[in-house]
Amino acid sequence: MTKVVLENLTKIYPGGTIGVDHLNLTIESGSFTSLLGPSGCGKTTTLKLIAGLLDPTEGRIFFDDEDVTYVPPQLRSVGLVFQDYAVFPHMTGYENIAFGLRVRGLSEQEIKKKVKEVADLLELQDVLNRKPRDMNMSELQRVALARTIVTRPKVLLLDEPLSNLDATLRVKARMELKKLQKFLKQTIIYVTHDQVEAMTLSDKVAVMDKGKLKQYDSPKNIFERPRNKFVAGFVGTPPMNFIDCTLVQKDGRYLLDAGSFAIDATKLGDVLKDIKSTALIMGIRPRDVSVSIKPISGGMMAKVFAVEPLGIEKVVTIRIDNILIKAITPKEFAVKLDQEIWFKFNLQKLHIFDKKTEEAYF
Amino acid sequence: MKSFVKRLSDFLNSKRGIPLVLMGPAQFLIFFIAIIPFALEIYLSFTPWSPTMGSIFNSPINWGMNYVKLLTSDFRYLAALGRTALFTVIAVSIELLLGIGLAALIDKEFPGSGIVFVLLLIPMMFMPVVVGLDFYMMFQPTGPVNHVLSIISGHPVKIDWLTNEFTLFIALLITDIWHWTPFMFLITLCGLRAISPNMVDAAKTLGASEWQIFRKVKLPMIRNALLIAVAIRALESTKIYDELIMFAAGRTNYLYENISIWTYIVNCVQNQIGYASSGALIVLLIIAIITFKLILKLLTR
Amino acid sequence: MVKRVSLEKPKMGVLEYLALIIVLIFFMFPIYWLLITSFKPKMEWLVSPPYWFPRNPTILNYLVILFPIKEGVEMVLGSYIVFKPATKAFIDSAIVAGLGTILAVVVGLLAAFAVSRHNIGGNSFMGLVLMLRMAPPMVAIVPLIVFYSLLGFVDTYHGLILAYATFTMPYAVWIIKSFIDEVPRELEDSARLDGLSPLAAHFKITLPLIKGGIFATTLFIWILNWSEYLFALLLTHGNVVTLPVQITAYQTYAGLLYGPQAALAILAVIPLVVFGTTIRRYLARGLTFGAIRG
Repeated sequence: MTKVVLENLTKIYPGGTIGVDHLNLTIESGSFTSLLGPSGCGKTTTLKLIAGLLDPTEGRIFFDDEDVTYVPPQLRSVGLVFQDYAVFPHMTGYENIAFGLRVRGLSEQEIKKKVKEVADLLELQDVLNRKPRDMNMSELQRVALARTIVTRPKVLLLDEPLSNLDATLRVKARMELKKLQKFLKQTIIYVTHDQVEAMTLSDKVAVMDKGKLKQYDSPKNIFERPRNKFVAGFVGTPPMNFIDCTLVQKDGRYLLDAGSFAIDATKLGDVLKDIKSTALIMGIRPRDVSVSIKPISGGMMAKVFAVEPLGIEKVVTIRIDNILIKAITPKEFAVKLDQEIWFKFNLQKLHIFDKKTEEAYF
Repeated sequence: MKSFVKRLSDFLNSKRGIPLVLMGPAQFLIFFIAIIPFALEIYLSFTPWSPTMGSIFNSPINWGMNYVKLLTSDFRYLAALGRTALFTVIAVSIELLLGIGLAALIDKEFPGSGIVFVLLLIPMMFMPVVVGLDFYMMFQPTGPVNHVLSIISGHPVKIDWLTNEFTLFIALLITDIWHWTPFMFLITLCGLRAISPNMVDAAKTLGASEWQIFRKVKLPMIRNALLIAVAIRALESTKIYDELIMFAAGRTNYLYENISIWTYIVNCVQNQIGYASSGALIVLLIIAIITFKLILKLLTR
Repeated sequence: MVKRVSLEKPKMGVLEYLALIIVLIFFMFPIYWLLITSFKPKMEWLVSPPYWFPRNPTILNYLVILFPIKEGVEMVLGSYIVFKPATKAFIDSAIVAGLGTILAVVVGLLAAFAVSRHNIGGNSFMGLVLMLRMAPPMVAIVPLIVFYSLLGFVDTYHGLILAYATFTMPYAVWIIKSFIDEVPRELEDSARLDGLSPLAAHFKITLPLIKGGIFATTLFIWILNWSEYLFALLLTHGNVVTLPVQITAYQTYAGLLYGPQAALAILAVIPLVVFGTTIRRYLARGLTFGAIRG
């Protein structure tokens, strides 16, 4: 039940690589927070800094109100589960779980009690007497988890803990993890590159890229109100369509001119008045592009470029001149390549980004 | 000419040719330089042969009498075996402990640890004769060892290290420790460096201090490497010879007779070739049993 | 904000630095002692208390072992030996160690391919070859002397070279095999599909990939052969003289010629240290027969 605050946290590796760049983050006590981003974005580095395994180049780390920036990992009371689990190969499941308690000098009786509690919680009773080489992935993962939970850490740090499990196990493990967290009221920081995982599990998501925080918000807001092009493009499958355009005023109407076509954005109203620059990018998710064989009012014409059936739905890519746009259609939607169809954007779901700063106006 | 080369190449690459060309040379060497002499040795071990008795092939055969004598009444031999075993146990134990300690130290990667690492490997590269010579000189009554002891203890120390069996043993021990601790150090360090950093990090976050991590995580994980190192070192230390020759400096009384010196005396000084063979073969049997265990370990990697 | 102790690097306490210094002194001192002795003139050899640095350093010891100068005779005046420079020993050692090593590596290389790629011999061959090395040299030498005298191989170059090759070849087999095992079979297999014969596949595909390992193995075995004493002592009587034997030849009943011996020892040991340091990455693998891939 600990609040974690990161203040201007920076890590520059010897050699110049920037791992984390002036990260400011407040993680509420008892919350499930994900650090989401592509490989190399600094999420694992952040985790290691919080654990005390790396020296920060700049910045501070607070647990509740205590400055723990230079406290060694042994004394920080963090739990860390690695992607490869790092379960001690020469010890049984029991001894692995008991390790954190043994080094703290607890009596054998107490240790036995606590290990049993956690083993029951994670269904590890059969695994206690076995060695890691006789355990499967799921058991290893639970042992690694049990090992940390049993010491009641202030913060639980998980580095892609489910990526070694196959798909069905992963979904099950996800739900178990969420239940566990609620039960233990544990502050969890969860690193992943899998957006589905981050979005389904977290109370809040911190999206990172190249060491910088791109957006820290609830999953809903991350999806519906991305603050920059990176977040907009990273979250959501298939990814958002981005189209270069300029803002033009004509006959009292505001138009987003993409060259080959233009969207009448007057309805969006006052927001458009504040847009100073003219070079813009509009973003629209495939799900918010409607296509039809019959003409739509207010819509425009394009040609079918590609069709990808996905089982329950289809992804249809349409082309106007040299702009490609993806749209999602029901699976019954039957078109041929190069066929002319009509499309329309759902204006409520349109996003506008500044081309230079990539910040969202909308 | 060309077709000959081609035919030769075809033959060498054939099912019959490959074993011949690849394994043949090794088998040839082993057969002639090892197997035949070995057979000869077995034969000799059942005779009391000495060059003064004429041709080997006409030698009388005394059917294992050598072995009986060696194992029951030859106290000089048994003492040599005992000394060898005792020395090995003590030397290897000390070298193991020192080696682990050094490895733990260098593993900390302090500034300059790279250079220290190389420096610590150098004693291992010295040839045994040179090591023997060097320590012979240092253990002289007028040498630096006594000098340092005098300074430390306050009054003059004039131990004649190499003329007394007990002090000779100590001197030999120190010599061997100097020469071979680097080996244990190297193997232990290699083992430590092979441990995944995630294991150590996990242990840290669980609250273990550096010493606790070393004892409970690192050492158990390098157990296999240590076993191999100890076995190899133990087998090698039974063969100490060069240093003892240097320590004796031309004297015929070697004072500390281990199994190598015993064999040398019986075989080359007393010329009891047959008897020496039996003594040697008993040692070989013991070594073979230990090596067998080592082989199993090495082959199951 | 002043940065305190680094979290990433383990701390080195005062005790640990102290232990380090003591250890370094222990391991470096004998080397230092040997070095300064080689530069000491005769009257400083047995001085008590000993000089920790030569008061009249001289290179005479080095000259005497390399060239037949009159000082050499003067040095041994009154003792039982005739002083001979050690030039022959350098040459003989180079010949015997060099050829013995090359033979060991070539034979071992071929055998390693046989075991690794063709499964000839397998575990029993590897075990036999290991036993060869593990057997005490004394055990091997007893019959070898007899056998060699029957063959007329005693005190010959070829006799010693063959012996050296046979008893260091086990290292070559085990170590090179460990390198070959690390190269995927598939590389040779695909070359075979392209028409290459098995031997050509070994030598044109795999061999270049393990060049570094073979080089290190060669130096490693060379170090062993250069240092070998027992076989050289008992199998030669003066026609062939290797360095280790030569070093002990300066032993007399009257005492040792510390200076020249130390000088010879230093010269003999320099190539060992140079080569040893060059292959230090492979030392662990070499000494454990390929088991530990430091």
